[in-house]
Amino acid sequence: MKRNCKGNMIILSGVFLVVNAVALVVASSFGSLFFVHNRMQAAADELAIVGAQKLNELDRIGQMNNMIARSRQLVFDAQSSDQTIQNTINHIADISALLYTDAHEGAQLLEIERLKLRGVSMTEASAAITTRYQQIKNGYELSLPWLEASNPAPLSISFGYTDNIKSNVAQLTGLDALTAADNASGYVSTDNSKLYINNINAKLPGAASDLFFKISSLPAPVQSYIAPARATLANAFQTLTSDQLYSSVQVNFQLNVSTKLGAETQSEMKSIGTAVTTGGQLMM
Amino acid sequence: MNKHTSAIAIAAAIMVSTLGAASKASAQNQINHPYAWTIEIDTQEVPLQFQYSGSALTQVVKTQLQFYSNSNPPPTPTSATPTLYESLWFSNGKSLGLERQNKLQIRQGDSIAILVVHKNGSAQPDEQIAAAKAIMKAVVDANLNKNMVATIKVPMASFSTISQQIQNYHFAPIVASSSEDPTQSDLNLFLESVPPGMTQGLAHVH
Repeated sequence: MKRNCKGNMIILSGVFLVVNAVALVVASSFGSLFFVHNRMQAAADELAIVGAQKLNELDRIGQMNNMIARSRQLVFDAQSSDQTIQNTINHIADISALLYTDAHEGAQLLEIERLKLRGVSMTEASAAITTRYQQIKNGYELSLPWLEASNPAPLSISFGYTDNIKSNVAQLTGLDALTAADNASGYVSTDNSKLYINNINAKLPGAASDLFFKISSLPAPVQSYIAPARATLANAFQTLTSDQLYSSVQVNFQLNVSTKLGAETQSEMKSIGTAVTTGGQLMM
Repeated sequence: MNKHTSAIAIAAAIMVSTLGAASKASAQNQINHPYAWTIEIDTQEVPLQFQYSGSALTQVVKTQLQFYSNSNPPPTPTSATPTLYESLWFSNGKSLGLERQNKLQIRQGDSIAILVVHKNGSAQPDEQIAAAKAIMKAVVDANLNKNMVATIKVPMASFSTISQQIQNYHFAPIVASSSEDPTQSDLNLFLESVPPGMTQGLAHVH
């Protein structure tokens, strides 16, 4: 007996169309989410770069690093001269003592200003990120009948430095004893760059050991080229364990995602933007 | 007197005359330059430094110290060319930093002059104070190198401020009628203005 198959194709086509439509909707939803996530990542990177640019605006961190290295050399030289004079040409001992005091006070002033700059650069960078975030945050919401991505969570901003970036300060070589001491202490990189390594407190021996000479991480110029602020890998970001100047920013940008059809689920979509600040100049 | 004798006499006369002129020129040179070396201190304000809210590091001044020989001929072929010794940095009259470029390669025992030059012609008080501090550092470094500072030449407009600043390092003006006897001081400094017109002696007092 021959079966009557007429009408099967219509049913199959209908089923196929419905399955296709569902697949299309699902694919479209995931595509939209993927698109939103990409835009969020770009936004997070942008926010991080905005903050990073502010940190070393007008090369203020680079200038501070350089002057701290100079101050260190001034104090070391004044201390050495004063010791020699006290022992040999005592009649000008009062003059050399005044010069040493002046150098010592200059180093203390620099440390106060360094801490001030740390606070100012972080506050200004946070403000710049927040301002930009307010401008763009509503452009990332996605609302579909079956899916919603909205309600950006408050930004989370972290400050730190980027792993493996030394300081912008080239070793000062004019005082042989100090150069030798720095090399022995491991304050200077052993590669050809001869830059002071990052985040050190390069204390001096002797009477000036009470002074802080903190040199922070900051990209140095490469063949006179100063690197602009740029996005970096998130895992290169390091938090500071001391009160060094900040040179990197990490921003966490987060949206709440929920499904509307069937079982309602809620989740979060995150993007992490990380950036390192503009490079510092070498000494003039 | 035969021909040979007169030729010898003429040659001798020329020689004596030449030697005399050379000796006179050398003496004149010594009078004009009673010092064998000059340490020149160039001062200038450095703009666009430490620009952040509430910064106290304003009015940054950089002074460059370079030295050169005044001797003729110079002790070494290159010593007549200025050699950069070091750069000093100041802010609001406070010493901030040092970049030493070369050793003070001045022959020990030679006398020196210190010459202050404001690179922009005139100078604000911060630059004048920086110049005075750089002078004192040069004086100490010269003493460490066993050199005597014969004179300190400063721009006329900065003369008073620099003199007052040097007095903060335990120096007092030498006044002819005063009881301060410069010969009793272990260190005297002599300031003269550029262009000439003002001079002052300062005696180190403890």
